[in-house]
Amino acid sequence: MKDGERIEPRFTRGEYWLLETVVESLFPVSGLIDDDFEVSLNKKGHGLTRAALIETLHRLISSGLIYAESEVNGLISTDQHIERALNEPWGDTASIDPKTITYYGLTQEGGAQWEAFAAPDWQRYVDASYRVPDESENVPDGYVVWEMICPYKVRLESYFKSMYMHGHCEVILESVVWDYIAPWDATYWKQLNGAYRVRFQDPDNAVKSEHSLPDLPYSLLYQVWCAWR
Amino acid sequence: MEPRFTRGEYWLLETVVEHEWDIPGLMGSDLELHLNKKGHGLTRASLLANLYRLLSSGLIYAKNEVDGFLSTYQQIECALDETPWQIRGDKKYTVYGLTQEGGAQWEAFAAPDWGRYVDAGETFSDENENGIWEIICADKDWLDRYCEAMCFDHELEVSLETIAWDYIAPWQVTYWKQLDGAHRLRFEAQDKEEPSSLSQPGHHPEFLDKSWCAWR
Repeated sequence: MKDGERIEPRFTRGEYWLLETVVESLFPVSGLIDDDFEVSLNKKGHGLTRAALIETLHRLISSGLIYAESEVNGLISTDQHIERALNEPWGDTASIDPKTITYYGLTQEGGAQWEAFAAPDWQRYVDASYRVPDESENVPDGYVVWEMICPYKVRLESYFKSMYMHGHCEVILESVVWDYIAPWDATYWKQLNGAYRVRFQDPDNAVKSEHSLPDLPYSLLYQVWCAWR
Repeated sequence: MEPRFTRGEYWLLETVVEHEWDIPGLMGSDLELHLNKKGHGLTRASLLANLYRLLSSGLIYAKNEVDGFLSTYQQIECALDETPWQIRGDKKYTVYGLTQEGGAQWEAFAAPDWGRYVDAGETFSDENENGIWEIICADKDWLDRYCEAMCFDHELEVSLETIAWDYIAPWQVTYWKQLDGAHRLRFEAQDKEEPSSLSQPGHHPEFLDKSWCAWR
């Protein structure tokens, strides 16, 4: 092996599934055995038994690819800790103190090894979200503010147009603002040199679309039989 | 034992899930274009090592009409040196594909939902100006949704009296995979005379969202 050359990572489905699940956001450990986790993650489940899940999580923590922590208990590392974390309640229950929930996420090394396997094209990564503005922003009542970010401007323009054409948002043209931000924290573990950003106002109560489009394009229906293609 | 793959190994297996692929084509400069996916990213030496490892562990086979099934490192090396994209009739044309074990190990990693696998195609004949469509899928509801979305996207006018449903059992989905059975829909269709007034929206945002990383 040459100097500086990395050993190519080799994953089981369970390991890769657990890494891939937290590429964009942290996820609660106890959510991994929730009945509805396929729905909340919108992907096929890990397919692991509880024992295999604990073993796989422990292996990933021990090899420094993921970390798991809660605000109250800090970082965890043993089988017993993971077992306890799996038993934590979570969800929309008002009685749960969010500080007690154990989340897991990628370490820098875990992110690097996931990248070595998945070979993502970060230039095409789009972060899109909307929020209710605060009073100082001078936005009319009932409007929300959208923000879409992507390093590749042409991609962002396509995404912006596609969101509008598919009726996911209504754009108030005079509110559209484009700029460039650098650096850009694409996720909690990944920073890119910079990215283009578009922001605009959307009358949230508007009729989103008058077009009768199928809920998914056929190309997506064709590909969905196997997520890891 | 649960299979464990490198990116290169998984890429090579996944590439031949639906069809065999020619080995010299793996070195072709248009590989990504032909496969419509990101390349393997391997050097020639690493590609050779990966192919041989998969071959010797019984996950793939490699063959051509002159030598039959290949088994040695040197044979794979020679196959990589064949001229890419040769005419199909050329007998020295080495392809590789999944063995039953390779298919099973790929399935263990990818966990595909074969119920949603769609096989769709259009044929034409001299006697009929309409295209003849055939769509097959094990899940009938999925087939319905696919057909609706496809006709919308292609702006097809389906000839209603030609619609025929049946069930085929067993169904040979790919060269290595057989399912118990599947629903088949056949119909004739032509392009709509007046294209939709709707402006084509291009890719759905969900598609754009996911295409940054194929293996999500």
